[in-house]
Amino acid sequence: MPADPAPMTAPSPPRTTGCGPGPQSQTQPQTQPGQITLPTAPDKVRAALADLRRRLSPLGFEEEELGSVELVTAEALNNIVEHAHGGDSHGQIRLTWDFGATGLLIRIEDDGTPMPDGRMPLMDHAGAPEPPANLPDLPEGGFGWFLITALARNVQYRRERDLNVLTYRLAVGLVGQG
Amino acid sequence: MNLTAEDLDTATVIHVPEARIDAAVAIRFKDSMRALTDQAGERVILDLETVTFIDSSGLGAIVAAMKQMRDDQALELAALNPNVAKVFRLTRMDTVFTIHEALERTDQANAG
Repeated sequence: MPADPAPMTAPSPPRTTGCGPGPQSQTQPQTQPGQITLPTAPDKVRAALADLRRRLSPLGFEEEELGSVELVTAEALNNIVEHAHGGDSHGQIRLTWDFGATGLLIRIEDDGTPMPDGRMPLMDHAGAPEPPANLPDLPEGGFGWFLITALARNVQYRRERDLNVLTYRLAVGLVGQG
Repeated sequence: MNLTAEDLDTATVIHVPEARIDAAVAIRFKDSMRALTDQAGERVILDLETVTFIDSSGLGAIVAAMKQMRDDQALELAALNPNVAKVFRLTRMDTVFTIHEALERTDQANAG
């Protein structure tokens, strides 16, 4: 399967959502790349998400878009804390983002163990399965990757040296585009 | 986690006076829910009006809270923020719970 070239090797100049004539001709806010580093602990994940939201908020995204960015990133970070580091809070995570013509590009690196079989779980694009009818059979977990793949695009996982690298794109801030 | 229970005529309402039910508090949420639902009647409504964010761990904790209730009890949800509703919709858990747009207090308002 042909993989997309790594989308965020260089911080290319931010492209604004110039989409021809229209009422949305406000001044474009600064869309500069950003970075947050954090240790692998749940409360630090919370703080990092708050920081991410605070830094993206002035950029004019819809609240619904910000919510999706926060949710996908929360799931990705929680997976790292719980699985790649198994609850050990001494690992390191580096979250970086950049803006492209197709939205917000996010890259997350961590120094934990690789994903099983070196790949991320395959998700059926039909979405989450229908919940079982019997209450005791209802799943209490395993929702995270459904949320990631339902909301993000170009989700890719790979190892780079001793790091896990997850990249994904969120089609946000694309006024008037599909 | 600091949940509070309120007995209405028709149900016990459990309020979540926090903005997030996430991985950092999921276990505490589940434990607090058990303590409150143990003493509740058959109908329990979880009031999520203050909650602006849940992740999959928070969702799992809400499902777990329902599963740990007595057989004669049912858990309903009320006042879901759009970001919270999205999590239920994308995982199809919105088909599992009775979801109310808002917490109805008409039973109290009409008491006189």
